[in-house]
Amino acid sequence: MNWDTILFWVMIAIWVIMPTFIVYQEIQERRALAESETATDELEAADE
Amino acid sequence: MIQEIALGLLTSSIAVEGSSRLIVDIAMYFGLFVIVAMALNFQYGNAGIPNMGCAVQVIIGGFTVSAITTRLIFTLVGNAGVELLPWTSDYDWVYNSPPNVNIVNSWLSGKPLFGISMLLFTLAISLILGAVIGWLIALPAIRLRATYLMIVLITMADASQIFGRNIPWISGGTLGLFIPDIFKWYPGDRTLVMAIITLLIGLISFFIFRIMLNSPYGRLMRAIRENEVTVGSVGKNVTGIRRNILMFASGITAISGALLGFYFSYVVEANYQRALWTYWPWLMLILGGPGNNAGTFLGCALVVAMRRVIIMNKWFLQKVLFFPVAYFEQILLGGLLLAVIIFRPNGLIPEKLLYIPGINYRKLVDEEVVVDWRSAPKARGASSGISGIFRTLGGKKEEAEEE
Repeated sequence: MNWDTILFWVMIAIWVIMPTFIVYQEIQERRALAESETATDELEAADE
Repeated sequence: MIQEIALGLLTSSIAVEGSSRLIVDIAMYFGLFVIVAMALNFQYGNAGIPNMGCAVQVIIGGFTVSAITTRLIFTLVGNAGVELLPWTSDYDWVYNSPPNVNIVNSWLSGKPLFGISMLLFTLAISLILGAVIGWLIALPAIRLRATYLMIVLITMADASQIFGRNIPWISGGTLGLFIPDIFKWYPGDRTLVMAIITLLIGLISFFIFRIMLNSPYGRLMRAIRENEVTVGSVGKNVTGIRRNILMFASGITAISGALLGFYFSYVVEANYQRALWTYWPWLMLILGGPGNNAGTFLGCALVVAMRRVIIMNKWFLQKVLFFPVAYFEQILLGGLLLAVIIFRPNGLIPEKLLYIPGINYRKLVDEEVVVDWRSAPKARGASSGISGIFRTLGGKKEEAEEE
């Protein structure tokens, strides 16, 4: 069994998964914050 | 003879070649710089501590490998009955390093548990020593204003390299020191294992920093960054908090130095230059966007890939450039820093507000909160707070009167 080939692709997988996951988390956080901002704007508009 | 052994040690267990070699190299450096840049982001991006001495913490990790782990391995292997050349004096420590490491490597080839335990030991010790160095740096410097703090930290980074260069028992002085291959038991390229471990540690440190930033402590850090006088006025120990942040981030940064030592199987102070381990992480941070882990990741990926490609293609670049290619990296560093500061001062991904996980922001804003202050004490229970104590006492008195 060629362990080097297996580990090479494991490394590539980690390398791909890591930024993908971080970008996904970032998008989720930004979406949640944007939603709260929209809700605040709507609430303020309703008060006026 | 010793030169041949040294060359053999440096090139042993490296089987991956060509473009795959470049990819492994980029992955390894990406992992290392992600750890350093995220720790820097934690300090500067979120707490406003301009740590220009990242190289101090990284070099401490390297020194941990050369001065502590290597000695421990030599001692343990010697106790196991393996005959090593003398290594206790400064001269023997440096000049007998290649043959001794060669002997130790052949002993380590069948002992995976020993190798892994040495790696874990080194990571733990470098974390602790990094934090101690963070505390030592904080002692004189943390009360200083940003500019003076930066000057002190730059000086400390240079001082740490001078210590390594002039004290042979730390890292072999200018000649450097060979490190036993703790992955000798692996039947292939050890650098692949190191790259995977480094990337995983980078991912774990991302989670740790993310959890800390989204906690109340993270909001406190941002408050200190924005206006430390105000935070101090409400009773928070600003100096203490800044010291804790510096200690924690220093510990994490030191891990990358230890990993670099194992990656090369060699530690020399010249590998831990201030420009490489302080200014490049700063460029990554500023390019990606301070106060933002995703931006730090992006900055790291761009800069590391660019640097490794330049290093690998220096022969080609020399033909194109009109100045010596050795200066190209430094010119690029300066030019990129200026360009980013002029055209995108907030970085590629600008900072956002802190996100509190598990909270539905829309619901929080939409729902009408009705607070009935008259019913609040009842809801809190009879025994909570000072009023609760009085109520309890009163209740006992009432019970006695009823009896």
